[in-house]
Amino acid sequence: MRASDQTFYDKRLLHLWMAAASLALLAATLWMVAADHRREWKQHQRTFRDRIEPWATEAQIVQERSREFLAREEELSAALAEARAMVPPSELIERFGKELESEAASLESGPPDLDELRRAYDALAAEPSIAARDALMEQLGEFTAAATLRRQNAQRRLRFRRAEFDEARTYYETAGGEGASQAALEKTQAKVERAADDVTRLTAELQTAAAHCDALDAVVREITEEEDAARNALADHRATLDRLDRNLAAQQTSLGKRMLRLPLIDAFGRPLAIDQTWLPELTIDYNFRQVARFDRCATCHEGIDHNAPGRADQPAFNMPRELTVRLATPRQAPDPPSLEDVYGLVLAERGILDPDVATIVRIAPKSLAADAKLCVGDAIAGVDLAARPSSQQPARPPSMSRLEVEKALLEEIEWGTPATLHIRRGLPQPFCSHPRLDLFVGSLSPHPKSEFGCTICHDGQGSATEFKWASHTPNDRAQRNRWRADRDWFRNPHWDFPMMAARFVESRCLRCHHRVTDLEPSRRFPDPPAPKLLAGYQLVRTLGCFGCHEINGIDPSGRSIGPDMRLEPSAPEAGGVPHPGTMRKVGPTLRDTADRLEAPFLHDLIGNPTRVLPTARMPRFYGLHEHLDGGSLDDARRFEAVEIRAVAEYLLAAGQPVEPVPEPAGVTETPLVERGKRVFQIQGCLACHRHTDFPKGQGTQGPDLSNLATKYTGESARRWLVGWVRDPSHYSPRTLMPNSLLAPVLLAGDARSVTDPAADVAAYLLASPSDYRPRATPALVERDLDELALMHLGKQFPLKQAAEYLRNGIPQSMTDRASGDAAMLLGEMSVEKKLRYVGSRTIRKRGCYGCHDVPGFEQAQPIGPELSAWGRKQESLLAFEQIDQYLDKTAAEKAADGDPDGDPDDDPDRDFFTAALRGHRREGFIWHKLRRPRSFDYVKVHNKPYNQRLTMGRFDLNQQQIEAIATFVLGLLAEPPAEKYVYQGDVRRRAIAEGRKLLDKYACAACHVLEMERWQFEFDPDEFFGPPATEEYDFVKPLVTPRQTAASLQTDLRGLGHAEVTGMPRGDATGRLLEDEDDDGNPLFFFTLWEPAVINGSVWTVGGAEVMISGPRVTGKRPPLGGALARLLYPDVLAEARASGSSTSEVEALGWVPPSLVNEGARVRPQWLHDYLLQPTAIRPAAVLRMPRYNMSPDEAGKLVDYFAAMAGAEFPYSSHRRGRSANLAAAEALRPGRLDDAMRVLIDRQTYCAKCHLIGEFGPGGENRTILAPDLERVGRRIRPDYVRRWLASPKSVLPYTAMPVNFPPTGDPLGQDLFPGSSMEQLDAVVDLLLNYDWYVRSRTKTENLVPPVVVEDESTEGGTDE
Amino acid sequence: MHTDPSEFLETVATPLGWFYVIGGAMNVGAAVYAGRGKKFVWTAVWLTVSAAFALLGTASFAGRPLILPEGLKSAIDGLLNPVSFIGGSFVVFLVLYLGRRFFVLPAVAWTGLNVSLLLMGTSMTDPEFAAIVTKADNVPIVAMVYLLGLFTYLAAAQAVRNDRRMLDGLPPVEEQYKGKVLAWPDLVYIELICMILLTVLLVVWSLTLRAPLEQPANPVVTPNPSKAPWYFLGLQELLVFSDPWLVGVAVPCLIVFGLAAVPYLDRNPRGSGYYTIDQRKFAYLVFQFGFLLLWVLLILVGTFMRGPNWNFFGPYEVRDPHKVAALTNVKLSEYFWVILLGRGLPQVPEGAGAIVRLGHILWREIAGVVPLAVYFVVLPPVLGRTLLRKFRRRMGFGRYTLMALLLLMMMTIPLKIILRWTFNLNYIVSIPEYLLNF
Repeated sequence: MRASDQTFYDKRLLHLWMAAASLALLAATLWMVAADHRREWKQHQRTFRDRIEPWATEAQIVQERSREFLAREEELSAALAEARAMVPPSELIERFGKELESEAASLESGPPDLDELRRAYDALAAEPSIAARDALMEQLGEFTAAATLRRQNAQRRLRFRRAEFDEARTYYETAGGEGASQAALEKTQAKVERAADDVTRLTAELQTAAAHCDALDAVVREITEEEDAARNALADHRATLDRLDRNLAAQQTSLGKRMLRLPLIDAFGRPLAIDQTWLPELTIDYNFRQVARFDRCATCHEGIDHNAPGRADQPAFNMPRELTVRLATPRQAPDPPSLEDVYGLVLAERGILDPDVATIVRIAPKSLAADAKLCVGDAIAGVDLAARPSSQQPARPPSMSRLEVEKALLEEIEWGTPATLHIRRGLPQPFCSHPRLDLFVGSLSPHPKSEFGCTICHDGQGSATEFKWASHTPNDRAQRNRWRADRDWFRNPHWDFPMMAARFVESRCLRCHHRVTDLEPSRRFPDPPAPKLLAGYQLVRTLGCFGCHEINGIDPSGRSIGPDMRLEPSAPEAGGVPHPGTMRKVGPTLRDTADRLEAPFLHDLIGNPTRVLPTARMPRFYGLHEHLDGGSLDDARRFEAVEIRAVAEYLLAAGQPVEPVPEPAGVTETPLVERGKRVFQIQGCLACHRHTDFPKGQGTQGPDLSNLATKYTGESARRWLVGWVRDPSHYSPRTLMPNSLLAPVLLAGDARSVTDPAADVAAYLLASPSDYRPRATPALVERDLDELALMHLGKQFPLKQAAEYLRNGIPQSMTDRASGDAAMLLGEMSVEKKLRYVGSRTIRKRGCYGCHDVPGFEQAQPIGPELSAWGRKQESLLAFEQIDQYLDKTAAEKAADGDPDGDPDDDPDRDFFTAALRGHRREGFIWHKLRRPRSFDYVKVHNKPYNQRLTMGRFDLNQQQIEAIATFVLGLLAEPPAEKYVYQGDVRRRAIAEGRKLLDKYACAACHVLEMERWQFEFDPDEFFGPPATEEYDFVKPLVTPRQTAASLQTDLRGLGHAEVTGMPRGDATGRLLEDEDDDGNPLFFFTLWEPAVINGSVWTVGGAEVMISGPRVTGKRPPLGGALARLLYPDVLAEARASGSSTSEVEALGWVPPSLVNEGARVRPQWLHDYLLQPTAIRPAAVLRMPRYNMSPDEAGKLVDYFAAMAGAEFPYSSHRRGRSANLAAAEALRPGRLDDAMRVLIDRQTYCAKCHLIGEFGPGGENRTILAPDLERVGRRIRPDYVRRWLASPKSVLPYTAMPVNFPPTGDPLGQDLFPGSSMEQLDAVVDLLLNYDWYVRSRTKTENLVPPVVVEDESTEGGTDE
Repeated sequence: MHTDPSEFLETVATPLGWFYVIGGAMNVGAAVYAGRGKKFVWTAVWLTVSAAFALLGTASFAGRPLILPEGLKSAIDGLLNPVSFIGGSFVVFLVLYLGRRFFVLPAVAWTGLNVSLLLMGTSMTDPEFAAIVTKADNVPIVAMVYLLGLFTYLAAAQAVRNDRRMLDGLPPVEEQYKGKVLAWPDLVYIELICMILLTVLLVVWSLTLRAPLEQPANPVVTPNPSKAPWYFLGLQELLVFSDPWLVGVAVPCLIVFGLAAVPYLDRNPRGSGYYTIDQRKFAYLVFQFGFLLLWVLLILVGTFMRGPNWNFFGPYEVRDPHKVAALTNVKLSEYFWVILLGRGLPQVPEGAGAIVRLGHILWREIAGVVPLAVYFVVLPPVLGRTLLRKFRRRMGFGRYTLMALLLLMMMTIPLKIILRWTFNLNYIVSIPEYLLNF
């Protein structure tokens, strides 16, 4: 074709295509920009910055600009105006004039022109006004300005001249060295001298000018003194408001900011920007490497770290919740009615997020609204009025406008009856602040946002900036549905660390808090930081999950990776293991089963533990058949019967008989049930055990002993029980049960009858009636036994051979091949042998040795999968199998039975887990594994040999417990963060966390109070009076900082003060709280302080007056930690003492029960406590029970000692004893000779002083009245810390409020006991303290060793045959 | 990932509604087109189809999309086992080829498209199927299925038309476009417009479909199944049948080599510049067989049929990672020595010299080596004398032999696949000593 203009395609068409394509590109570009502008986080930021933040600031401003504030401001402004029109005294003007004149004279210039000044003053004096005064000030200002100018000039001249002088001098000083001529040097010297003269002159000039200037200024200052003060007062008054105004101005969007937020421009990162926390050491495991964490959560959650004004630990924006509030109304309509006048309530012009919603912006102090505890920011959703019939009450309206609220509360209201307000408090996500700013996110919290970010606790995709990509996880189905509908939420399978559902959020604490117990509530964080996790930990600990499922917290390199809950190694092994486990097996030893249990009972127990012992913790292994049907069910029935029998047979046969504990000598009385009951009640058994005879006992450490008679039937069992009560560790060297040191005692009132308390207790326990009868044991079906045995043996030998062996036994020639359990079958065959063999195989299969010490299984390994990293276990590795079908089946069955349990929709928790289970997620798996452990075998059993079925037993757990355990197990990640993040705590916190584990292990808190009760209450500052004045030694008085005093005076909006007290409310003889009635008819409680408290500006000391607290004013109670047994025993002990005619007070009887260990660490010396824990001795003769002896290692004792010292803030692990230094003693002796001798006289005085109650070695008050007996003083120096002894003697009640010890050395008034120890109280006190602390030394110094040497008898020399040389 | 079936339907219902609406609109377009061509019967047909689609769409919007009955689904799953799927594909290929004059009829092709749309729409109500199709990774593959259909149809339709014209003695349609056109606007302008439209496509794609990022790779937990990029899935499929170095290295090299050799082997000027099948039956068949069946089909197998553990799944079958398939395969040498002759495999002596060892190995593998030798050595001359006589004469010995070898090489792949699926034949020749398993 020739070249031509002719084109192949139609040009017009092409142009049209081009235009369309270009438009499409434009549209796509605009779409892109719009998509960027509308990104979720930008919208959130705009909302937060345009609506929420300014609203909050405005609310603060409104709150600040109260009427009182405005009135005060007016007052201050008036004062300022007045000050500004004041006529200064004429002397000042005169002085000013004189100063000017004298200066002029000294300068020899003409006299100053003061006429103008005088005229101005006269004008002001004649008619005081601000203008006139300003004119005067202007005149004064002119003169002061002139003086200042002169001073500045002088200053400048001096500076120049001094520089010249320095230059000349330096030249002179260095020129010589550089070889300048003598003449040149001299010339320079002359120059230096001239300059020096000038400098001197100019300096004098400057000083004169400065003095003049200062004099003038002083006069002016004096004139303006009042004015300045008024101005400052006004500025101070307005300071907060000014700051808020500035904040508001900064928050409001200016035109420039608006421009920057336009589409496309806002892509450049200001002011809307991604808020990113960079955490280089809190890495994420990306498999190939550890990658720094970037948390961008705060991009949307902008308010997460905002705290309430003035409260660093309170969130600024609460989580959304709805509540109803009762708002009282005045009896009559005030005039004019306005919300502010009537209720002290101001509604904002606009709501926070929705402008039309009535939102509270200000609450007046001491108003009705304040009394109703309304808060700024509350949205009023509805008002129920008594006046309106309930049919007209809006049923939870979505919201109300301002006008509607005003109408309802001011017009429709019936005055005098309260209105009910439906309140919506808080903001929806993502705008709320963290609810626990005291613990998290806040800059003052232990986990500030900048150091920890968010995803280290919550997990989730921290880099995401969109809701659905952040891997949020809903907490229940309702939330999930809401998210799906509103937020496009979906479960992203491609992020390995989805956020934890809110219900499990505590599980992540374990990542860093490997000790777990450091998460218990403490003084700093009294609200439990992780209650669910701790509950889970305690369950795992008490149920012994770790027996089968290893929870290893230490990796091979010795690094801590999580909580370590491994079993203790078998004793001989311990030496070789670098980091041995520490957990004790939770079940009793089965070594001596044959001594105490009989076969029928054992069958029942193994078959279904809770049927026999309702409180048994042992899981149920047999009879779990819901998932079985047909042949599999038949198999289960047949073989389970055989297994139960076989295990019992094995346990009864394999035991090693333990030599019984020898009977104590000299017992004359036969055991008596009543005596035993008394011993059981008093001697501390109830601390760990329960018994139906004592329904108040709540001990859970040990088993319930009510039905012991069902368990122990024979004579050998009785003997065993007596021995066990006497010395448990004789039978089980590692038992947790302590030795109660029950020695034979004399029967009261009978010097010859000796009883054995252990035998009495055993008699009592076995005497309880029991309606339990063992079920008839079904006859053993030998065919089933053979089949089962063959199944086991067939694994080791060829089937044919195995069958042959089972018929005739394994021949001895096969000894070397018949290893393990098969060795039992060597030699002649018998049914018992087969049973034992099957029993042993069963124990191995079911892992009984995880909880029990079973003979023959010392080296066996745990059977369950390890849990150390279960929280990260791949979900695809969990065998969900036929679980959906199983659920369908059970749901159908339950629906058919009409069981509501079958419908999961009614319980959000169950529903959550069911959904998780069906979604094949970990949470669901563990939930169902704990509920129905065998259900995962559903249908699968049809093709599984009996021995390969799932073996986990079923625990009796409720939904809450399962969730707690799941929280703990899900937290086991074995992903420790960088070293510095793994929580170590300081030495004290570490000691406390370690100690708490031991407190749990040995149940110390069952007997002893470890922390006192704490009450929070509010009070009216005008009605709450301080304590009566008491006199104390200075060193006893509590230290109180001015800040504490100021804090105690603060009041809330209702005008009420708040206080917290620690100690115990006074109770009566039965342990019930004593109460009185106050003026309003409310109960009034008497609270004995155990810690000094600052209330309403005054200091309440320990041992002083009790705090009276009105019942309705109590806002919070924290129960005491521990001491249940003490509380349980107290009424009985007291009643018994009263019955025997003693007249002790209620308070004193507290000294007879297990003592409170609050502050124990400050009381006793570490070494003593350590030894005492290992080998307890009697201290207080009055106590009704003794501290038992535990199987505690010295290491554990040391940890407990450290715990107590750390809790009390005392020195540890060692303590010093300055008072024992002989130099100190000698110096004191020199000042007052004979002081220790005199002190000794005080000590042994039986009339009024120490020996009246105390033993001193063998010397004591005499008589056996235990109620007044007090501890032996001989050992005080070794037992008690020196400072404590001094404080105790000075003011016993300030240390132990319930003590019966009197004040022997009164701090004021005349000193007592001048006949024994002449001197001041302080001298007496110090001398007695020194004596007590150095008692051994003192006594030694009074005896001579040579007195103890027997005199040498000189024999006759002749008989001996002298050898002189 | 388990999802609640009713919830799944909710999520899929609305998009399906739009899908059917588009299908209906397309049929309205077809009706209009038919109407303009005065084919009013077809207008009525397409309008009916369109109404049916509208009905389906309405049902979907109402949350009750048409669902494939479970029975049908399991029947399809059962039918699509490896043997019938691969074998059936060959048959379908042959049918399509033989009936090409019928299948390129617009009404037939359009009906085919409608059926495929219906099948797609109803299949989308199956969670497993939907999961595969909607996976952002698989968007290009789904698009490829339709695009490939479209282009194959276009080419075939034009070829059939040309063939018919040439039977009637007319020149092919393309003849009339002979000559030269201007670079601007006939070439560059169009390219510019295409560029812009493609940019629009990419922008919109990136706005609507997120990059399919998955979790960080974990060497301990590899994805199950681990799939190659979609364009290599065919090669990955071959790994099932032979040693990696053979099908992963040698075969791809041969493919490249073979493709490069095509212009030198095929110097036939016919069909150049116009579409035809009749004049180039051999070339057409060989190419379509190699491309559609050996490349594209295997990609589809890899995408749609392979699941966890690289097991073969039906399109609606639950991708259960715990599924176990009975795959006990036997080597040809075992068939020969153990099953046929009833004696053990000849043992290769330990520590013998390389040559002795090789001898023993060849002896052991004699049952595979001989047929293979026959296949490659004897078959080309035989074919040259019989079936491919024409080619041998036209191409000469050298070019013919090369072509025949390449062709036979290509054919080993379907042969191997068939042998594997039908006789559980593991390897024809298995020499693990030298990593040579074929």
